[in-house]
Amino acid sequence: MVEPKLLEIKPGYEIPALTKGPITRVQLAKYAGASGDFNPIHLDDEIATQSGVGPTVIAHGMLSMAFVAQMLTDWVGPTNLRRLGVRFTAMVRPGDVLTCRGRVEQVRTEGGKTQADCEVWIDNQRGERVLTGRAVVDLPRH
Amino acid sequence: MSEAGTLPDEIRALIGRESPPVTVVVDTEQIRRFADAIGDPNPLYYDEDYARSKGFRSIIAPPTFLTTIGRWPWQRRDETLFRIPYGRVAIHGEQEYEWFRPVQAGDVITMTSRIVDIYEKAGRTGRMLFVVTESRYVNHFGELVAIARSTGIRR
Repeated sequence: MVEPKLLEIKPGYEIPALTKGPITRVQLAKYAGASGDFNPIHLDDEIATQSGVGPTVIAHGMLSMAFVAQMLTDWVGPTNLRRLGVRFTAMVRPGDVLTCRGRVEQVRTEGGKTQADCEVWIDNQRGERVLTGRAVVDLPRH
Repeated sequence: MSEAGTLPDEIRALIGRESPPVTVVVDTEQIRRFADAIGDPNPLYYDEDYARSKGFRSIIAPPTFLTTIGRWPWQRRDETLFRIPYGRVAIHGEQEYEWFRPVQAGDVITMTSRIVDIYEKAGRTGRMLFVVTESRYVNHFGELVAIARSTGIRR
């Protein structure tokens, strides 16, 4: 499939989807070690259960945000992501497969610079929405 | 959504509280480890020659790499500053970033965080406290790199 040039992007355009996972406990351990987020609800089933998020550990919300950011940077490049705001709407657990998707809602040109406002989301393998959000990207001239 | 009157004064008094700045030298291995942990193979995050060929000083960091700054025990100067006596579990509700320029290996990044709002809401499992923190990240050239807003939910 040939992707349209970024400057030809119109409202309704669907950002190429990105599927991540299945999420493993090893990935959660790696993410804890790389990010410094050692909250035990991501690493220890017993503590996760005692804390009310059990029966297993849950993934770091910021890991899901990193996935949706990757979908956007795969599309426009890392330096063209201007803004991303997300809400974590359901818990992610080991074994989950996450599919990141997004859609362009509006394209704006101001002062010679073109930006797209996008809606983004992540669904798990059961079709449950685990993250919703909005993003702004620069659409560079190619 | 704030319901004035229900929040204890000692919690409401935390709005506006600012943490001392945290300064971190970002190196190539921190960036690569983070990119590997999120499973993002973009060569701009690993390959210095490739990143230089694209006009960067070194490899650049994935956008959400900023979350690693200020999380380590030796970077937190006063644990008690943002301690909030409410609930038994804190989860991450919302996160927002606005990025102005990429973080590059070799950058010295200074983060300053401030509690900008605290409010209480009734949820399905009882009352919940929402704490909104804003962090600003500035590099060693004095350039604003990004602003983050994070909403934690305690219940």
